[in-house]
Amino acid sequence: MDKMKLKLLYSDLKSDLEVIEKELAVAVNSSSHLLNEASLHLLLAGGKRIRPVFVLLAAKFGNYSIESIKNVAVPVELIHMASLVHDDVIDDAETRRGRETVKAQWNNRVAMYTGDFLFAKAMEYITEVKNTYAHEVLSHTMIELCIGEIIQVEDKRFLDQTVRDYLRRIKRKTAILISASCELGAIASGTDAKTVRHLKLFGYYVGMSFQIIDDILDIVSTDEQLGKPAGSDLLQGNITLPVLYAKNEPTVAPLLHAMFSGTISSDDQQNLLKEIRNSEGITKAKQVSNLYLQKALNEVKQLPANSAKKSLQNIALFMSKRKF
Amino acid sequence: MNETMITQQVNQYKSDILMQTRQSTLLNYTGTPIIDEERLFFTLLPLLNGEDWDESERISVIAISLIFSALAAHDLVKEQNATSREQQLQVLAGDYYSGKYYQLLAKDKKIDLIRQLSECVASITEHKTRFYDQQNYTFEQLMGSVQLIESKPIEQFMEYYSFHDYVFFMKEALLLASLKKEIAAYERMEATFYIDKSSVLKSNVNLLQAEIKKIENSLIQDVRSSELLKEHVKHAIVERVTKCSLETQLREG
Repeated sequence: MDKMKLKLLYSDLKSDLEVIEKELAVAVNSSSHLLNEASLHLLLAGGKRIRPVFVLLAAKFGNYSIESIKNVAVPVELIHMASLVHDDVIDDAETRRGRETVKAQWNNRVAMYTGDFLFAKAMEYITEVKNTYAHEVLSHTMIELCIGEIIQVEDKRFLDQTVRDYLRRIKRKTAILISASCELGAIASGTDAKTVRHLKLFGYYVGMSFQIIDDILDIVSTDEQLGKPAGSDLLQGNITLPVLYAKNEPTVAPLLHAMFSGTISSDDQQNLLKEIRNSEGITKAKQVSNLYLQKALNEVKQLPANSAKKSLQNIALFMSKRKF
Repeated sequence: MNETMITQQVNQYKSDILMQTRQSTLLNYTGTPIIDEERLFFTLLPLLNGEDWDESERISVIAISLIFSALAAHDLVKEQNATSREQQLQVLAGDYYSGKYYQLLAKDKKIDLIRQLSECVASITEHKTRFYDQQNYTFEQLMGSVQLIESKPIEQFMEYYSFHDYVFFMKEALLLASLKKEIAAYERMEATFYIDKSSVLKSNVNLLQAEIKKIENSLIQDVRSSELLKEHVKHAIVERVTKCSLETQLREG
């Protein structure tokens, strides 16, 4: 149902998204049949393509041309795909979006090379953009994305982390690439500086809201809905916002400590998820997500009126209310 | 310029590269990035030989070294069970160094060089997978892959700054150094990067040794007869090229 709604929201961009999809297939084409297979495996797994969508919509505030803007939309999606392949090595993940991960189907080394190949292809594409500031934005984004992941590894199983720590982590891990997608789309199409600023902030706020919802869904959804085991973030030791808010509740605390000390049974793991689902943590995390959504919508209000403005608003609302 | 000054130059670049990669968590868990001094020396050949060299060349050399550090970090990720914190951060270290190389060149507005180097990285990953797929490659094809993996971004850098005449020496020397390291590790029954992954190389170790001898002899001859290279550079190259063989001979008594 949600997937259908998303398709409807993208309907104005349908033909341009088809161009992007075709271009992604061209981009991952390799002389190595192994890389070809691994990259196509990733591409066919699909995804919401939310980053390219934001690039395209942001570009509509300037001189829009799909032929030039695809050189931004394709690389941001490739960077996202590459970071997922590497994340799966870090998380030792067997499935993603209901399919075997590259590391599970081949091995970690092949996953490393696949990710490196996709990063390199992303950079090949983005160099079609001659605005040097755009490259400073993207390179800074890639470094911040990486630092976000480094902090996530460092913070694993660290129960004393604060909400602020979490927010700073997801800013780097997720929000910054969505923000950069909006900013780069706008820069590449020659949008005025004021509008670029609003779009950049919009992307940041939507990204924060989106990641919090993602972290809530990891706990409240089923394996089938997620395409991977429910609660896998928590099982990996990643402490997300609902867990941070629920961690001191009497029904949650002992199970959480048992889990991180490695003494929890698989039944109690399920009980832990159940207790967090029933806790105030979910409601409080939703409230924070909503705060970011409101901030995003405020930024949209300040954009010049055009068809993309409404689409950005609708997608932001959808992303923050989605159920998958 | 004597050997001490050459070493100082290489060390200065090494410390500049390390400055770029300073990240406390990575330092704690993965240590400093791998910087191959032999490779750095051959990247710096034009500078050491007295060619015009400015800030852009300096930045580009640092960026290229970061590419190799990134690739080397990912080569340290185990094929299975990379679940330790050190291994997880090895994945991210490689990505971090890649981001740094992009940022350095972006700030220096070298967008065309970024493109050329990205093509090199894509090509390197394609050639690395030759050691993982089940296709049949000839000995010559694999030698070509090793050479590309070891030197392609440096070749691109030299072409970009019109140091074309140095490409041959650099490529042959880095191929040689890499093959010598492989053979030395193989003989010590340690893990190798290329031989372990290729039945063609494994069953042709004698051919590999003959190839090493052939490249070494021919390279030394070319270096000595070169009109481009100055005497101190010739001496430094020959010293490095023969070092590995001397080490082997000493080990063998």
